[in-house]
Amino acid sequence: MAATSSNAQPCGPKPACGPQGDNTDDVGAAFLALLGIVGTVVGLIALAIKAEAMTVLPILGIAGPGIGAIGLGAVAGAGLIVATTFAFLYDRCLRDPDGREPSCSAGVINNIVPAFDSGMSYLFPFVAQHDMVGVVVKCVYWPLVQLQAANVVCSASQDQSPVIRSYYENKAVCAAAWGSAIGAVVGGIGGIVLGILAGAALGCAGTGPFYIFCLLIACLIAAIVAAACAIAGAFIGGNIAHAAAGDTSPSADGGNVLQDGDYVTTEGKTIINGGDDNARVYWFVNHTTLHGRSTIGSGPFRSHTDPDAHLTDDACPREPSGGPPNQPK
Amino acid sequence: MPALFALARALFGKLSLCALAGGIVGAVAGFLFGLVLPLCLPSTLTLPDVLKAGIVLGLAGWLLVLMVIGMWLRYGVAAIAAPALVNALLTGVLTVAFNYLAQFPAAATLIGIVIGIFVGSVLCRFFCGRVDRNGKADDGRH
Repeated sequence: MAATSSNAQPCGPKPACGPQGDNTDDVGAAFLALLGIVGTVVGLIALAIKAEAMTVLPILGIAGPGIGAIGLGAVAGAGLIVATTFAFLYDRCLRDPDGREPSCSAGVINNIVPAFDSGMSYLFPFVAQHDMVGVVVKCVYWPLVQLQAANVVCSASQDQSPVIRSYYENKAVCAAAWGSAIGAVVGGIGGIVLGILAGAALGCAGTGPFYIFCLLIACLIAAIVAAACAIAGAFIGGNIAHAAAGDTSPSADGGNVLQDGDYVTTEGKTIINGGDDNARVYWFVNHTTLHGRSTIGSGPFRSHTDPDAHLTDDACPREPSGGPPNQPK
Repeated sequence: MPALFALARALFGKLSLCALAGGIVGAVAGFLFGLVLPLCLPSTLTLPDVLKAGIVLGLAGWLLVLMVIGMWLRYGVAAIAAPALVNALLTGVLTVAFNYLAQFPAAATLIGIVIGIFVGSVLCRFFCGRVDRNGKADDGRH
């Protein structure tokens, strides 16, 4: 790819930092939708079979007052977790987002968040996100950062320089997500049985408010036990798959592992990502050119003035006239 | 799954974090109360009973919110725990009360979601600051 002329253009107006209005995380919105769907469908089934009045479960043969309601509570608890692991799997690995734009930008790395960066990624492997490299871009790339975006992420520097989050595909993330989803199914099936047994163990009987409360608690316990078993299955399956797949670090084309302070040019498709409050992000970076290392400041406090001054020749293609970098329309 | 995400984005894509939390609590409270609602004739429960049921279900929903929004979506448990508790208790009680009055178990979950979103939106508008992931907007967590 052809590089490059000097980019001595003056900076345009700096984009406003932060989200413009409320934006719900895609997975959060999907989770609420799943709750609504699972709750309504299971509620309709409960009505149809008069679950609250059932005393024997036909399949498992477990008996007790209100056992139908307890069973459906367990099914809903496990089903919700299973569906959620698949929602994360879809979000991380299976979706083909609309509006992918071939893009190129350059700047200095402000921060790096590895895929498995905390205990949370091991406790709930399905929530692990791909490796993210935050790049404070040169000001000529500000139009890309704000292209159709409802959020502009900025560095913590005094001038709050715009950052483009650049995701590097990590196969271990998808392996962990698949492992979690399969583990959740297996754990959830066992969890339904355990949940029903746990709920039935309360031995609710009688009539009136006390019975209603007891049955309510029994349904709650059944749902929690079933969900906990599904999560345990996701934990085991996800970590086994993660270990089998190995882990990678985001690296430049030559194989050098990227570090805070590196000057880079990134190329790949960009999207508006719900998981980043609808900021424009790389999903994923295909090529990274390393240009050296900054000696000014430290992450996450980097300023665009650093790459503007010290990364004059980046690797993005330019208009023949030597004008601004090519960007999607 | 693409249809689910499209539906979710269309229905809930512009919710505030408080409204999302309220919706989750309302769904949990509505669903579980809906399972026993057919047993509740209009005169079975007294006001204290409704309050107790709402508080129990609100607490259950609060724990789910801490796990989903605090841990899975990485907003941080400590950052959301206190405001989410107020949101959850109010949503839990109102969801049980409205469902008890409505006596319509098939719609109990949806009623809960609507109430939760309303309560969350009102609370967010008047009482909450913005909560960013892990408490900071610029640390690049995801």
